[in-house]
Amino acid sequence: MSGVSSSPPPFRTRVGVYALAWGLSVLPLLVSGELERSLGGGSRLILAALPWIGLIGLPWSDPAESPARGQERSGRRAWGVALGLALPPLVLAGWLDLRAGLEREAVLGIAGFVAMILVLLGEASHQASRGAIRLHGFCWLAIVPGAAALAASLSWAIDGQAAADGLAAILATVSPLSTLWRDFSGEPVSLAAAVLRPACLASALLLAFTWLAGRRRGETR
Amino acid sequence: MSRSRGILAASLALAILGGGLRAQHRVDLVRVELTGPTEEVRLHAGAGETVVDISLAEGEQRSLMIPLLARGTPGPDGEPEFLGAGAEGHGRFLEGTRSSAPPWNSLAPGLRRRSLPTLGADRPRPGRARLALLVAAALVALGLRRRPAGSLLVGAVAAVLIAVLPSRPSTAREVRVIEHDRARERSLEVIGGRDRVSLSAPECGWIRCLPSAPGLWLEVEVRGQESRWTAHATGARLFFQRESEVSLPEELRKLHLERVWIREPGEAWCVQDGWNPAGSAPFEGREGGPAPPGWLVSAVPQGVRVLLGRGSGPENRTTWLRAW
Repeated sequence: MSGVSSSPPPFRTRVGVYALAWGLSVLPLLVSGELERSLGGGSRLILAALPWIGLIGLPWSDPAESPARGQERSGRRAWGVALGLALPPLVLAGWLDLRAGLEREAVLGIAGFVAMILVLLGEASHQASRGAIRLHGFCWLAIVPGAAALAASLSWAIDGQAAADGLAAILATVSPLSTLWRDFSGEPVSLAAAVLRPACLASALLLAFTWLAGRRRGETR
Repeated sequence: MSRSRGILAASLALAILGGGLRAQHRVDLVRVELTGPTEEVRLHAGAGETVVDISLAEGEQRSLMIPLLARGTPGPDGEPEFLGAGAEGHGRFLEGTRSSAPPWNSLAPGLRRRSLPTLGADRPRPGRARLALLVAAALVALGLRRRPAGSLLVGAVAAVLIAVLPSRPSTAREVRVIEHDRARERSLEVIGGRDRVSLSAPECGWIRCLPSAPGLWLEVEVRGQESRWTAHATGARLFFQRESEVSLPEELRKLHLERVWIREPGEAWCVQDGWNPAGSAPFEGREGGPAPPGWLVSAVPQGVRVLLGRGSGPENRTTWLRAW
């Protein structure tokens, strides 16, 4: 199979997942009537960003990025396609938020946080496809869906117990998904505070670990 | 210890009051004399411009009441500054009428906010042009999937276009709320709208702008003896508030209420459609019907009879009534 005539299956699948994320992110911008009213006055930018945050960092094994000995890496960053697809719906959602009267600082804070997380998780996924797929998969599972699911489970199951609530709150700040979801129902923060949140630090650490592991693997190859 | 508490309480009160006033602008009325020829006169009084759209022939004079945006805190603002009155026309300040303290200033800021109607149901729509651009950008970005940098570039260009495409002002209907305190015989009228709020005649009052938009300005259209003014602030929710001198029975006669909720002290809400509180028919509401909107019931007083109503008032506005 020629690399020019058709993409390797994992890359094609990844683009398919990005197309799915695009559809999910556009959906909250199209709803109207009772369905829209049920969403209340919350930020549509947050709703549009959640699918991208959840999917852009998925661990993928890309043969083009972990080639056999002596072959060249393609070097293409699939998350560039994701960002190209994500930007228009995200900007449209932010524009709708501003037109709906949301504070400019709050929308900027959400946008800054989303942009940072998308770049960090996307690059981490790219670095992982160069050989550190297992480490990345484990860390991504723990940070993105794991911490959010655990925080939600704890809040639901041990409601009212201070220690459990404290743990749930900490876990919720680690996952970018739950951090954004809390912003939807609570008070959004400013741009400066948004990019210094624990979820950004966790995503940056994920990228650093994946990059270091990929580099070590490249040296030993 | 108690002194520290006092200082803390005073600081908190000042912070809350200051925050509330930042987004609030006083609307004063001034009488000006305009001399033609002119098509447009612009005035400034400290917090924003007023543009008067009036056609005057050469030498023609007209005395008008004009609304001006003054600073949020009551105080002497002086005469308005005439920024332009056409090529040769000019304007002259005659007298001013200052609006009173903000509506129901004796209430805590949190309680005053309850008068602001929700405009959430009228969220703006993306529009066909933006949706078409969104789909086109997605198709091109997917077509360039083997060149991620190209996809990113297409997405960025589409995003910029989506942000800068011109959009029509919101066509959402304005919402009016009338609050009436029967014990004190005081009424507060609030008219809310997106991007703009219009009134049939210049009136003193207060405008709350959320978020506080520096681009707030007033427009006065003068057609013959009629004048109509509109407050504009693109991208903001605007609420005009004024103490109303209209008594409740008089207001009820003008309103056509489609639905009425009544809550007696210690009881649940009862609802009846099409009941006229000013008429002679008794209220025969039932419990368990559609609940009144959350924003309308927030912070209504306890232990007294509360009447809520939804109807249509003048100028096809959805009107909400809240009386106790």
